Amino acid sequence: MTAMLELDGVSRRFEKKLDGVERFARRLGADLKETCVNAVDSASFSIARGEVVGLVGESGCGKSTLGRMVAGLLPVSDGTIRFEGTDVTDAKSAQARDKRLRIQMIFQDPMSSLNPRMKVADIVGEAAVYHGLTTRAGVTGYVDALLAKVGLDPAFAHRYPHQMSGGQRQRIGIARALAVQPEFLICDESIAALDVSIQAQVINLFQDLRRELDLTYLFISHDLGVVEHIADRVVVMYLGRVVEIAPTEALFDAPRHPYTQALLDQVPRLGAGRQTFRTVKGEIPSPLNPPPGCHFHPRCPMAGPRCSREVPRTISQGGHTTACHLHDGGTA
Amino acid sequence: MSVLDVRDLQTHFFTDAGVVKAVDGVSFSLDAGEVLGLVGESGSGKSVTGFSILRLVDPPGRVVGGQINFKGQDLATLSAREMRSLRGNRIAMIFQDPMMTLNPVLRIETQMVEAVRAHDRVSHAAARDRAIRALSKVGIPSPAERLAAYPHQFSGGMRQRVAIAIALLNGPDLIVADEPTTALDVTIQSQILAEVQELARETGTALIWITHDLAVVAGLADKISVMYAGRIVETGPTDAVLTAPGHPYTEGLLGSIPGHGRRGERLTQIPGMAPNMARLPQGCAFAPRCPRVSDICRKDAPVITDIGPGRGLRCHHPTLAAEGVA
Repeated sequence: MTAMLELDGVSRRFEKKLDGVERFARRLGADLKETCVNAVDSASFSIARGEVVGLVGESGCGKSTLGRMVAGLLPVSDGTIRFEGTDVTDAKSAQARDKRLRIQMIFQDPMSSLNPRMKVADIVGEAAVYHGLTTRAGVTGYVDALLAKVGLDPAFAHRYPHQMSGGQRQRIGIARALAVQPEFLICDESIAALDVSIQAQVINLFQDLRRELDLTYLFISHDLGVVEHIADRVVVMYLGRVVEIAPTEALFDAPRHPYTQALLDQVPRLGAGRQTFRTVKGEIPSPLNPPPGCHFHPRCPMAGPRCSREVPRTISQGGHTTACHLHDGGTA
Repeated sequence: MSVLDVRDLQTHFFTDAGVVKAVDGVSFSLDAGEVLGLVGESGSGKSVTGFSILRLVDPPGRVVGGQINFKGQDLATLSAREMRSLRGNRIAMIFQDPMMTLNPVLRIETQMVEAVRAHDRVSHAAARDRAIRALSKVGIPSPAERLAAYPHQFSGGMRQRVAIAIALLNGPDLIVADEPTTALDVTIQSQILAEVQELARETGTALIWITHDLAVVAGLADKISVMYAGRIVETGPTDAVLTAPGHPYTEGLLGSIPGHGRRGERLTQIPGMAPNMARLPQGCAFAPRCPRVSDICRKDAPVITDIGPGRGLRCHHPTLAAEGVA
């Protein structure tokens, strides 16, 4: 199985430089430092053609930042992203740009990602015409076919985004991404804002499209139930770092990292009867000032002295990858 | 005696597009310490029901009918002043967005002390003590110091806890919680659910938990009422409703939830979308989306009928699962 997309040590730092006043204050002796957030810290994994990989974690863990780097919306601070063997990290060469077109993104909030002043026909058709996938004369038919594919009546082509419901708008977002005939879709919380019954419709649509168009997905979500349903493999992130990667069944049946275990414990489930909710202590720490060693150690029930000293290595064992001292010689 | 008894509540919005019957004949009752999960999708009227109980519905909306009996008092007949003395005191509300409760320019201390002294003639120091106790009850570390902080200095989860602490200040008999954990991460959500659960058990506070997430109420609520287009379509003990749903809509909702043991399967989806509330179809509002629809559904709106102890159902053609129960 060759990898379609490979991430190698991909990092993203956000720096806040001192402004003039702050630099002056520092010269006078104020305790001011440039602040730096490691939003994504050296993430490495690969995605095979036809696979659906779920990316989960709490808010602020860097999952959206990672998705945006893969989509080429955010520059990468460190590391490389390869798509079908081509380095697309900077997308400078024509070949890299061409590969980049094969990667498309579907956003969480269709209202803020669709231009409110454009009709659906233009939103969906614009990129296809620009990239020469259809002609100006043929664009109407092209858009109609796309709308039918995402389950909308072609009459919607003449509407504006505000004339549609949330579920319909999300379908427009999907049609727009499909318009340039991508092979790889990044779905960033694409169904989080939808009602349960509409959510099910869109999940089914994603699965139908996967079969019909032979798509590969990076599915970013905080909803573990959705990820369990749709993904083949799951990547778990905590505070910018990948802590566990495993096939979905293995991850949900036998999670290895204490964070994943805690996370799965907390998911409210149907059919579990009256639950007594258990809690992981504390909250996700500020990424401005992350704990040393393993980022999870202050909340970890299994933490030992080594956890606050040493950053855990990534250990792979039979397709199950974990970054935890428990699986690498103990925490003492 | 029940803490809250809502009978045939009707809240309508008088808009240019016509009268929107956001809540149309909702009835339920709640005993001390009981947790009711009020479940529905956007526009089903679940939040308006909560707002109506506290009489917080703004024009063009108005409560046009029904009774809201709170400990034997009909809230609809109270003066604005009497109602004010109940709100935040005997009945509290927790909103989805804690910034709706918190004033961004005041310290937490000012807001909490004010909430105590608005209803109780106690000293500032005593009110402060009560605030500290409430904060520590909802799991805020070093509550005495945190009192001096402003809302923006808290994280989202902490802010929601402060909002819950304020709701608890006067030991209310009833809390109406409107999607309080929807915007939070699962780990924070389960912490808050754990605290709320313990609270209802310990203090006998009755709780209405409004949510779109059946999985959340599955573990929390004693009973569930499912709303669709302004009406309760199914109600009953949590386990009964979840294991043997009687209404095709409830069944569809349950089938829509992805989760354990159904990996990769196609989700049963409810076709179509929620109806336009200003132009509801004649007959059953769910008829255009219903798999069991027949002619009678398009003509006559079903009434709610008892199908078992504490179980009500508004459907001409209940699913087989419920027939077994009835």
